[in-house]
Amino acid sequence: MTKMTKILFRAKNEEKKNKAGEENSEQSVNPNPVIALRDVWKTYRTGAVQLTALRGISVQIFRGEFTAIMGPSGSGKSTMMNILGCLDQMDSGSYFLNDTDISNLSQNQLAFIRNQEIGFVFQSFNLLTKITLQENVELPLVYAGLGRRERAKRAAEALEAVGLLSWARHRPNEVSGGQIQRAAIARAIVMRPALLMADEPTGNLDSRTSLDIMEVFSQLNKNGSTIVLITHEKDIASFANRIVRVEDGEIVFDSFGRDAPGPGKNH
Amino acid sequence: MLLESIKMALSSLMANKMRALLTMLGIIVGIASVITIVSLGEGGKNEVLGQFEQIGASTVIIQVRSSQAQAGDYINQNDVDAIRTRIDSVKHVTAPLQSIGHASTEMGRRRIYLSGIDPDFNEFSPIEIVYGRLFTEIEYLDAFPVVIIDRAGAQALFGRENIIGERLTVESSGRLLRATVVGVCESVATQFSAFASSFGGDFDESRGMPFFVYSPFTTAGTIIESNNRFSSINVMAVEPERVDEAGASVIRLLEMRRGNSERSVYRSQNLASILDQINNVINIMTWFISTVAGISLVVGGIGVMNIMLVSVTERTREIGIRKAIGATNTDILLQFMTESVILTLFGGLLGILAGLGLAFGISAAAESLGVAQITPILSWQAVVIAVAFSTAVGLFFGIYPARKAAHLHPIDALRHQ
Repeated sequence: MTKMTKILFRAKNEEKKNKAGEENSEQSVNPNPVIALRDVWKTYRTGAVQLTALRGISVQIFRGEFTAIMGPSGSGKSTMMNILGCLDQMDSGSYFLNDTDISNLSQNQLAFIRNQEIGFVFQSFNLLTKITLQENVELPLVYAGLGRRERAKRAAEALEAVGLLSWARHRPNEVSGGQIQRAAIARAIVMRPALLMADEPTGNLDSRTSLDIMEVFSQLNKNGSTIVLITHEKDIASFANRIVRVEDGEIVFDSFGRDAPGPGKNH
Repeated sequence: MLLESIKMALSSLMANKMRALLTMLGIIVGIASVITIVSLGEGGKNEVLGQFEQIGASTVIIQVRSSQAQAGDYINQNDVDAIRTRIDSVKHVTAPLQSIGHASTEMGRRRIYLSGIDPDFNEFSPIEIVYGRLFTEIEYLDAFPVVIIDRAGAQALFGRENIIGERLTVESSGRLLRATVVGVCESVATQFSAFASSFGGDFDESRGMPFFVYSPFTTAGTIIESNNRFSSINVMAVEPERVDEAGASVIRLLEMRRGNSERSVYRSQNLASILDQINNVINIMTWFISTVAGISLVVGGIGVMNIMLVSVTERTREIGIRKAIGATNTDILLQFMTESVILTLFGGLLGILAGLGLAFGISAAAESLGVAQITPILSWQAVVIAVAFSTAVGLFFGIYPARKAAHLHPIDALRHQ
């Protein structure tokens, strides 16, 4: 991606964030969805074997929603998360993320979108083990091209938000699993992305710590973050205010506009 | 971003110090060997140049090729006189008699290098008088039994330096000469040995440097068995620009006097041609070593590529994480390229240091063994080329692993255990 496109992207992004700020203050809701998937198909081919993981998925997720995507293993929920997270590309269909058409972007443009619009939290934490928590949190800011002082400031803010500021200088092997996952959340929110994606974020944690982590997500959601949570555990999914159930590559249930409380009900 | 890449590369290399060092070894050896040979070569050239400066740019050495020569072809004193008087471009000519012999006093008997010199000798290789004087005209003409001896010789034969008027016995080829010391000169071992060997001198350095004794050529002629035959003479042109002309004229004159022009018995050598020969030898050595070093650099480069491939595999997950949070292919490419270039660049710098150390070690060893006196010289050009080469090796051999890393699919990379 050229520098010019980067700048254009960034400008657009800033504009959007400002708009979002105004809307929040007016307690209004952005009519445009953060995520708009339409008839998305994805097939994996390994040698002679073909596996269609997604069969025409369509879904819209709105700003401020906390959506749990549920489904048994092999249901296609991981594929869905990879496509939503711009880690993988679909075979057909369309995907608008924050009004940007993702379907035909190059590898480098997708990397830029991941950097600016998406924050990931993984089951296996995925922090770099040889650097401190603070440096891990700063990493997305490095790729965004921010200066050292600005990086330190924003990393501190993010660590503060997850209650880890005093552990900033420790390495991942010096802190507990729960703290590592909090650092990973800090890394995911440090770029103030449009979308926070969490893939089984409590899968490697004990139940007590899992609840703590889910509390963090709830708090972030209350403060305006749009969250997509991938899980197969009902008690974890219960923290969300919208449930989408995937089986065999299709959405078989969506609580949108039904019983679930939260901002989604307004649409 | 480049600064960040350098920081990341350094921290990742520091995490595997031993591995990084071993990887660099090929580069270190390659660069070090080139730096060693080039700096010794430069130093040697400089040393030889210094020695030949004593002889001067106007000097041409006329030699008789012993393989071509018959008994009648050797240069005699009449030829020397003819050259001196009949060739315009010649200012001085000298044909020293030289021989290994012994000198003895009550204090003992020492090996000496005996030179029978003529008045022009001092124009070629000035004798620096410390005590006493040079020979006088009458001493040359009437073959006075007088000698000039160097300081070290005076010390060895008399136990002191100011020995003007003392007497000693000089012997050569079994003949004896009782002589009086009229002068003591500076010991000029190194420059004399270069001078002597340029004359085709044949003293054996392995038995230790002899002392130097000079006497008038007429006097020396009485004990040195020369049959009035010289295999080499020194000619000084009136000015440096005419040195080739002087050499050619001398050869033409000698061939005319002998009528042996068809056998090309004589050859002339001047400073420029001798320097050319030395440069040739040094250049051949440098090219040879550089070729070997080039092979070592390629092997070292393959080592770097190998270890970078291992590193990419080991860090596949890290690459996945970086890509997930927004690293572009270019960012990853830059990170791994930076790492391999830092490896080879650092190896190159260590190689320069090691090469310089080795050069100084060799020169110290050579000096203590009395083989040669060379101070290694490292030119900035050599440093620039070494740095450029090691960087190029890093770039070239780093491309493949870095591209491999850059093109990893983020999902596959994240799944990697």
